[in-house]
Amino acid sequence: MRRLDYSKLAIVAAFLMIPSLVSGQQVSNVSGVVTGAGNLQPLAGATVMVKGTTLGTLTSTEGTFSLDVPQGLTTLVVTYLGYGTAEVEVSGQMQISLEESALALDGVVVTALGVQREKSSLGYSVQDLLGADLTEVPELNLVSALQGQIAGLHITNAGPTGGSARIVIRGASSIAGGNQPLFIVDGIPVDNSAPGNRGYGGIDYGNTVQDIDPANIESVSVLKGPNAAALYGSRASNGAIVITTKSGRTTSGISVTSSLTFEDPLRLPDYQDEYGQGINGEFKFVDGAGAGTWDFVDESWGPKLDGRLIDQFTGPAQPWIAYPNNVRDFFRTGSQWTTNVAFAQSNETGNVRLSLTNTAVEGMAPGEQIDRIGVALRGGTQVTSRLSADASINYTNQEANNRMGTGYDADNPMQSFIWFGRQVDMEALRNYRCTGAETGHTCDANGGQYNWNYNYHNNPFWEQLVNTNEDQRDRILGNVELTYQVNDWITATGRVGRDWYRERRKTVTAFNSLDDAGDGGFSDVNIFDSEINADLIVTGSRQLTPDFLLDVTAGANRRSASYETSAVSVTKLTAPGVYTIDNAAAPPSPTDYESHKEVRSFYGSASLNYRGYLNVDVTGRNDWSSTLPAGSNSYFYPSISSAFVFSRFLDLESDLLSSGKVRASWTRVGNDASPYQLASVFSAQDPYGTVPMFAVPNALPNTSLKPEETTAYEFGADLGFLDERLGFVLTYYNHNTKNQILPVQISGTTGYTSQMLNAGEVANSGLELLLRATPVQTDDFRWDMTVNWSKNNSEVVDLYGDLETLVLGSYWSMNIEARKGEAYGVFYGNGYLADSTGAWIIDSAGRPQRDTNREILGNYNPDWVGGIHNRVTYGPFALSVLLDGQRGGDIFSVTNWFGEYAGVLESTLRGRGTDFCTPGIVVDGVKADGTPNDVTVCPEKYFGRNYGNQAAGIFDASYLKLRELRLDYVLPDDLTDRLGLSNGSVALIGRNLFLWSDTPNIDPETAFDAGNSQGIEFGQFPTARSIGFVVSMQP
Amino acid sequence: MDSYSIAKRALVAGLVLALAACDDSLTDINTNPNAPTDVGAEFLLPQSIRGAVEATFGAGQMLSHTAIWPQQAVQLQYPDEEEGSVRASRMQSYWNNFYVGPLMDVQRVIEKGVADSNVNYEGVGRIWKSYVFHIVTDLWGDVPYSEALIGDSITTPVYDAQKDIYTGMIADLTTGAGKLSSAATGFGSGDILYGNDMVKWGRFANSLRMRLAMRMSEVDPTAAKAAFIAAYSAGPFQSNADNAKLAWPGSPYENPLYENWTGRDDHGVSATMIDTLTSLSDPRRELYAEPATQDGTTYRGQPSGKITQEFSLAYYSRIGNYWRKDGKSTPTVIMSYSEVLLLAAEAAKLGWISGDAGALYTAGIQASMEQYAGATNAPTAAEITAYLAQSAITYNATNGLDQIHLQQWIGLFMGGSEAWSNVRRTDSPNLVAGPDLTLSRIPVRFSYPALEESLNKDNLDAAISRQGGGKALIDRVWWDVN
Repeated sequence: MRRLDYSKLAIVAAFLMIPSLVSGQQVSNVSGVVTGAGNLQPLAGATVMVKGTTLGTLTSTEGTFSLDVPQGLTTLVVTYLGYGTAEVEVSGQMQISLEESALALDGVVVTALGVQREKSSLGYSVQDLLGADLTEVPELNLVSALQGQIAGLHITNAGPTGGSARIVIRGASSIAGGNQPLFIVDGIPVDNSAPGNRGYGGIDYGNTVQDIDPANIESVSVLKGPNAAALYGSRASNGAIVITTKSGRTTSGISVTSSLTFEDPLRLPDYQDEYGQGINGEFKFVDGAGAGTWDFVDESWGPKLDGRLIDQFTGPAQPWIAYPNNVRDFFRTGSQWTTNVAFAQSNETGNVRLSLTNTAVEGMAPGEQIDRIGVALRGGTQVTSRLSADASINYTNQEANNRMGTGYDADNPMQSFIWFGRQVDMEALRNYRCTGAETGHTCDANGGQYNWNYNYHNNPFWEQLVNTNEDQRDRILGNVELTYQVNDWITATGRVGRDWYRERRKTVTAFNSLDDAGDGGFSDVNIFDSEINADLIVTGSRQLTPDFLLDVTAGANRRSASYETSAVSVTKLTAPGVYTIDNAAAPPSPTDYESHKEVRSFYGSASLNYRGYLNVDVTGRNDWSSTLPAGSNSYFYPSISSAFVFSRFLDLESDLLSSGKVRASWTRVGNDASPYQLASVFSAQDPYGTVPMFAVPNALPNTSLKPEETTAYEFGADLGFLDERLGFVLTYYNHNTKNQILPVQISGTTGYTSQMLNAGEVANSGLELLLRATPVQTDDFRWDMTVNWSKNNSEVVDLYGDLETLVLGSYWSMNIEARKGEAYGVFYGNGYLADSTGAWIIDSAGRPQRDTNREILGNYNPDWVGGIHNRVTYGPFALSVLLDGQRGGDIFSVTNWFGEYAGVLESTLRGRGTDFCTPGIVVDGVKADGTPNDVTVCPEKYFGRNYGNQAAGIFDASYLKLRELRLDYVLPDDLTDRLGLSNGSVALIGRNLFLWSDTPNIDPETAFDAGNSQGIEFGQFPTARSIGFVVSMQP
Repeated sequence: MDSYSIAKRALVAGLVLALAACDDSLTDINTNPNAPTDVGAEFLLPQSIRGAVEATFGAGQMLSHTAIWPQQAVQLQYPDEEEGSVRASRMQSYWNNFYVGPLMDVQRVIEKGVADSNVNYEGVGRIWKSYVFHIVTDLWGDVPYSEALIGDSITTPVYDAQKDIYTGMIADLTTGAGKLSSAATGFGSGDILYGNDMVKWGRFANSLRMRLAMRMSEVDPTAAKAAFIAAYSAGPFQSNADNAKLAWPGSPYENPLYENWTGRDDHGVSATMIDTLTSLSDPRRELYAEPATQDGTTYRGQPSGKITQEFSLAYYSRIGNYWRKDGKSTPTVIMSYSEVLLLAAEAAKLGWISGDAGALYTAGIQASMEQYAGATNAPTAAEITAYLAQSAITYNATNGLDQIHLQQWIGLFMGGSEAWSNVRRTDSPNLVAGPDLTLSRIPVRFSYPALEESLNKDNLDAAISRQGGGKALIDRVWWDVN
């Protein structure tokens, strides 16, 4: 199968036929063909440049090229992503062959501003992936597709289908702001926010970069530190993910790919099946709200499930038996079907590519559905001999229904399974509507539920299918680019791009739901987001002397961003089932908000290369931001980096050490504030009847805010051995962010809860290691292996004055904090009361006690993160396996914490082997007087002690996952000929296939959202284990 | 080199364009279009009143703390506070909610009143500020007062001694009442408590001053007496029509106890209250409590300070439907005529004022019962007469003080934190701690919030050392002598 993957060159892209460009100079025409050395396949879209100029062209789909070379210049440089660079002397009809090598320093990689750079000249850390690596196993969220493949990236999936994935490169450094990298597509920044997601209940609508279709991606370059991104502006201080999409230049013909996968929960808690609902071994259902014996509770400390007859919600005198799979039976097998059709074509003057993708997802939760349509059109043409134009437009439409809620909220059926009766038959609950024939429960005329409990929880099917939610998003990413070849060594490019989306979200609560007065309601939110970027860039490349090559770039950027939202919430309806404002029985609460921001920048870079082995890069950028005070809204940030290919210099290159480079860089990046931080505003309240009300703002503003500052340095080495069969990339980095624009807490007695200040300093340092090896390579068998590993240490160096800590989030009195002197993201809460030897001090009733002195109980940062990717090809077969995981890091699992309190987990069988309080538990510890504890306590009382003692819910979150597996079979030619295709393949795929972890009952890779408050879990949506197949073909 | 010079000029032009007008238009973009940077006092007063009442009379602060510790309500589920353990997060949020919310809002009202020479803004502002501050100091003891609410200049205010806070509040109530003028501009529709009736505001100020004065009866009887006489003669409430009560207009502002009823059902009426009312054949029982749903007739309270229940939930009496199921628009009474009469009765008994303690006591009971006129299960005139005729109720000078205190305690049911404050002062009725209380006595204060330790440590430490405590719930405040 031909490899048509290639990275687009944004700046140096418009290579033209320039017959008489350079006035007065003689030129001679050179033509030829470029192929891959291993398989002699022509390489389409390879770059052929005249060395020392910006003149060049791209090869056609047959790999051919034709180029006018000025007299006196005799060397062509040929590059293609994933292959080594070739420098060849000009001759008549050229046959150029490139060596395939993933690690070779001779290769090229796309860097900031879309400039294609030789890897050997880069002084900072960049790692790239081909589009094919991202689409090995189709994944709904682009961020999740990056998991396990790049050293230094820590990606956490939130779990729900279409939910958020959080990505942090080299540790979190911002206390109050975002810590995620900037996403760039074809030179235009794109939004990756997740507005409106809450941790403590609500719907996870996912992060917006999911709109980027991996099927359209040619390659991804991950620029890991602020060093690599000093040219993209302050938002890239956490790194940048630079995406280049496919174009008609790099692909051709028609291709069709279709995949179908099925999903089931990977892990659900281990529930106990010995005891049912109730308290003190008793239970009797009368009305599920307290009229019976403990029939209002949602815990399982009731009678033993021995089949005796007990009045239950299903009827009087029902057998009291366990339904061990009741929670699993709530979920159904989900499916995801994705089809992509792409057409591409090019000739000497133009190229075009059209891609259409349709994705249909049925989630594991009942009623859950996500549908996505993507259309991508990209084309380019030469307008005149010097001027070329390129444009692209990407449209995505996503519609989702019945996403399952997350967190501790009635929206989330998992909440009702943690507080549950183990004898509840999930099949009985499928009849979620009240018919009037139910025992003990009066059916309301407005339509009500049928449930196992009428005090605390809604029927889970009711929650999913009656209290519905829907969301729709339309998004357009477009850009237009004009490139003008000024002379043979200067190019000017003008580019304008816009990222624009509208989203609507609506959630409804039906009459007779249990989380309000039972009279229904709804909320309707509209979001509009737009960002426009305009750039003017001038590039020059000139061989100053035979030894020195200078590349210079100067540019200007104007960025304008807008965000608007309007929402209405109605908490009481008149008629059931009608969710419109007209049907509101109480005054609706509308809100609206808008924000605008503009940043203007001027930037430049210079790169000096000496003899191909020593490179020095200098960059500088100055931003003027609307969000900082006039007079101090300008900030400048420089960087310098250097690369030294010592193997070339010392002429060490041999079969053993085939390449060696050392590199170092230093940078400083500034950052501005969010809009409107300089003055505080009075917040309007809902009117008191008809009386308007405002409240004094809680935040004390700061009219003299300064920009934030990140300073970073890194150094590393790239080494290749055994003719590039083995390679290492090692990096050590250190970065420090200070003067952070933070709302610092002040004593509420001042009348304010916070003050906006420049304060806080966070340091991150660590190591990244990338190892690539090809242990076996024969004619028909090849084994490639990539290992990536990274370790990050963070420290909150300083906050403000004597301030010890800043709370990032607080759940059930467990704080996630940025605490001075500790790693970013520690857990702060109550532990067990213990004596000086660490033995628990047991109270007179035999229970451990809570230590009222709060302390640090752990932190959510892992010790290290890594992944191993193995790929084996044998003839037409290929097997690819990706494993990734983390070691260390803690998680506060409320599923475990409350699950024990409620007696639903298997671990709560301790002490009630024989009967609900027999044999009981004798807790290991000492009594108040220091003697060993000998008091027996009932399990119900023992596990009830959890509440308030957060240490009981903290677990180590180490895990290893078999993340992806793919088995390919390339269809043989005679079969494809018979089917009328030129190429075809089928593959078996799987994702999240196995989880190895000691964390009990849950998948420790979990999050509520993509924010800074991580490491908490409650009622996680089970991770999906998906298995299926892919068919791709080219007619 | 034509193309080169063209390019050079284009480049310069482009860069000039990009940098043009950098500063001015950029700053304009940062003007917040969403909300105003200043508003009038008539919009801040209702927010302060509503916020303070929701906090003080809400389910969290009242039902789980200030109503259970005087043994009037009881926690049937999650009885952590019954055991004497509070959540640090709640102590923090109650503290912040007072200072950053109603106190800051009313402070702005006063500042605007002073700046605009609006006597009613200033007068009502001072009165309401004292109301809210007295709640705060009765809960936490020594708290920031004189240096509080001026974050622009002081970020670590000193904690004033409660004695000085009381002096300050009494002075503010006097000044505030003195400034009021019915002829001057009011708050428009913004006065949601008294509808711009400055006479009633004045009476409220004087009634509140009586309450504060009596609070000092044990710790400083001389000052207490002087302040009480001044307040009483200035003119408190004259009838139930003067009661300070907040009406609820409907969603999203409904009686907090009604809102609690729609969500959770974790509280009941205590055995202490039910048994007391039953033994006295008190007609307020049918109003204060609901019979157990189990049989629809029995009134049964759960003992305070006991975390296990003898029976299933259906056997216990809940707080009356007047506040809960039927309570959506039941007004919240902040201070009542009944309380004024009983305070006067106590003052008469102590010899501070001339007046018939017995008559005042009887009138106080009557006013309490009549306060609920119109409600289902409100005491009828016949029931009131019958009640007063009982020998246990009839005023008797020997144990007159205890009788007065008992009626104060009964009358302050669902009265925010006042029942608890009063019983802390009087120790009458005598409350016996429940068997599961993990503390050496029933809580007598809120603990200082944890954040103050990191945000205002030195001043907090000074206050704790001055009081001899403050982090534990059993540390008494200044006026709580025993």
